[in-house]
Amino acid sequence: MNPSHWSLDEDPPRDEALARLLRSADGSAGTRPMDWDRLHDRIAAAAGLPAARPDAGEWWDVVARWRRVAVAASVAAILAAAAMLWQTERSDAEVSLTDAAPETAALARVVVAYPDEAVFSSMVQDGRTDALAAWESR
Amino acid sequence: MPGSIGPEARHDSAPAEAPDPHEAAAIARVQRGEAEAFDLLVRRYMRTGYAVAFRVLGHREDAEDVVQEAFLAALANIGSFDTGRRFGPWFHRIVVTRGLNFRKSRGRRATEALDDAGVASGDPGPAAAAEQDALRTSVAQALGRLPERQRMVVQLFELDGFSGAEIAGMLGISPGTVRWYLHEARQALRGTLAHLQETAR
Repeated sequence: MNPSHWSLDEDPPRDEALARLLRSADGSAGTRPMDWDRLHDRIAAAAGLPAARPDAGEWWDVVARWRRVAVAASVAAILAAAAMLWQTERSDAEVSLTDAAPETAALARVVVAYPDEAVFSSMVQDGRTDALAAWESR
Repeated sequence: MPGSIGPEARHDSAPAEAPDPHEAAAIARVQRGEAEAFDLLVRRYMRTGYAVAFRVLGHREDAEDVVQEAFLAALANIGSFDTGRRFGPWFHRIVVTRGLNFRKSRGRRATEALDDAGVASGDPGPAAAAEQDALRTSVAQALGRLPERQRMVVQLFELDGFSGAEIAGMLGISPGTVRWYLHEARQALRGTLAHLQETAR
């Protein structure tokens, strides 16, 4: 259909030659770069929308956006947990009587001087008899 | 996301016929009080809204002000919007109304397209630049001689890619009247610019 043709009932085809001419005078709207992000943020702020948020999309889009951060955080957490576990096991292995509380260590030094059965009797008796003193008096 | 307006921007971002289900769902959410769902509409229609505002105002910063105002007005009135309709025509009508009011309040006509035309043209050299300037001046003057509605119709149709029916919705006139304005504007421009058509090719 000729662009010169017109009808009340249907749109004529676009006139490319005329459009080229019009575009040449269409400086700022047609060809100057437009920062759409800035315009969006401005409108969003005026409307009280969450600031400069990218298109929220579905939950899996949000997950996908945070994927790299989540992987890095997971690796860091695993390494930290492994280091703590290793440190704890090493500390347990180094525990000895001398690392215990001072009163426990002092008691241990006394107890080792007696045979096991005397120590056991001393522990299970009701305190009216001193089993260790009885052993010494033998 | 820098870019420019034009037919491609219009066709990329605005659905042409039936209401898009995502768009209808977003509008329903906004109507229920979830204002953040309005963001989808802002992203989808800010380019076409800006294009329409620029056609009305011919001034870049004014067009930004008006498109922002139009979104706020749409948000304020969205409770009465029928989700069975398309948002675009309703919103563009708001843009045109606000734009005309804005222009009336400022008391000026569209002029920036001519003033700014040189900014976008790069550095073509003195002779070519002079020729380009002459071309722009002729086209801008020819456009300036058209009645306001004919100028808007021919620009919205030829440059921004809107259909006659869409333009009719924006301007509050019948599609047949839009086609008549378009025909008249084309005739006038072709007559005035016939000597330039070869240059533009």
